[in-house]
Amino acid sequence: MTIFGPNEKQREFMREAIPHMDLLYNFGLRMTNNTADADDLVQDTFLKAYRFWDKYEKGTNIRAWLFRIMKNSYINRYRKETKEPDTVDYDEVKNFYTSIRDESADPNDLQESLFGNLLDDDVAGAVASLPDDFRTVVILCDIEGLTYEEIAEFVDCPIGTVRSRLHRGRKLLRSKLMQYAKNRGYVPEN
Amino acid sequence: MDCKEFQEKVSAAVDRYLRNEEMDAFTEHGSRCPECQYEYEIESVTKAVVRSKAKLLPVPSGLLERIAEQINDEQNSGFAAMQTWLLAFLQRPFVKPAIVLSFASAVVVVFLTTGQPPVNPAADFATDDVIQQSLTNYRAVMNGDIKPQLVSGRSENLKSFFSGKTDFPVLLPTMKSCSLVGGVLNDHSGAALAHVLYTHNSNLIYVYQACWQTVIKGERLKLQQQAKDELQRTGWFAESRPDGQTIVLWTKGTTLCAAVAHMSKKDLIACLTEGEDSEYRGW
Repeated sequence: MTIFGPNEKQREFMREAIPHMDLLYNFGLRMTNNTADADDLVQDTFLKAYRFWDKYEKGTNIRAWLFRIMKNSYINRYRKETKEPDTVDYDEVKNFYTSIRDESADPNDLQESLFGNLLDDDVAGAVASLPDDFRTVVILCDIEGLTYEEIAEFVDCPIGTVRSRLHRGRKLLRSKLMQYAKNRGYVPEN
Repeated sequence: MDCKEFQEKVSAAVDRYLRNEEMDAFTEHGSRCPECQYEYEIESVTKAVVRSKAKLLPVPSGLLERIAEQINDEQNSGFAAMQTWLLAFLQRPFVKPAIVLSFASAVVVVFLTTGQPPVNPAADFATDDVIQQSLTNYRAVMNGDIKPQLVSGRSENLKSFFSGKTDFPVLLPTMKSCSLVGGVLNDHSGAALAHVLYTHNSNLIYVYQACWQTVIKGERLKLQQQAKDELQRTGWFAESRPDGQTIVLWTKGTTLCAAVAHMSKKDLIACLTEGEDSEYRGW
């Protein structure tokens, strides 16, 4: 597979930027929940990055630089108006959890007892339903495994903000997952 | 540790960022406070579910090649741009009525008969002079040697096309009785250039755009001192050429524009000054 283009700039760019395609693709996928859109986003990002290659300061965090380009593309094309999420019934989750918790001997079983055997698509859908700011940090932390510092650099906000968005994002997520579990009949309706 | 502190640290605890002593205090509070302990446990479970069900997927095959190809095309934009342009030109229904424009049909005919790769505006010319580049490009456009990279009469499409690619705002002024035809992007010695084409009645107006600062500096792009002075003084500089063409330069913010057309100075300036300016900012 001949990947590398004929000139030095192309080769250099491919060498430096391509290793991060994985992370960018997965981020795009989780944000759009759609492989075609993720594809487009990645292509768009890499083309822009190549065009602005001389603006990238060699030696600085290239992953963050690429990520910011992608984030801007995402915002320009896909961002819907951020609205406050619907009010969620956290007590419902808590009550159910409390009722099954003592029965589960192994904490690892709790996952399945609580949410049942959710499909990958259910979880993807739940993540995709989060407001953008929360979704971004949940993806970067829980799916991509980035550190708080890396996330803070990508998103360009203080670490405290990363933490609070994670907390709120996961909180929203728990009730979304509960909803899916109920829809699948894993959890009693009441 | 109290509940407030505990709550603030829940995520950090779930992600294993708390140091030993902090974690001890955290666990200790949790053992005394079921509400707080619940928050910690449920968040751990939520994270675990996401981790187990939303795995990292491999990049689809073909994506890398497509990107490599795209970058290659970008690098060799001349020939590839021509092919893409022609395809786009033939496929877009709203462009077909534009075939009545002498410019467009001349271009199609030239392509079909000569099959020559297009000349990139300004790129091949030894001259750094902005006026010379503009005049040469105008002639090349009239001959059909230069084709727009994007053919569109809609300014939104051109805005997207130019977005983020230049270090100056690309202007798409709405000019009196003029229609947008399309645009070209390239560079001269690394200085970004934007070219916009309009028609006015049966005339073609070619507008060359560059970064005014770059021209003032005079390294990659040059302009005669007299023109620079007048631009800085009045914002305009116009010249009638012996072959019936007029060139009008003007600056707006950091953008320098040069319009060339086979029109009288009076008519061209009238076109340029009447009608609203539509400005689009780059990156």
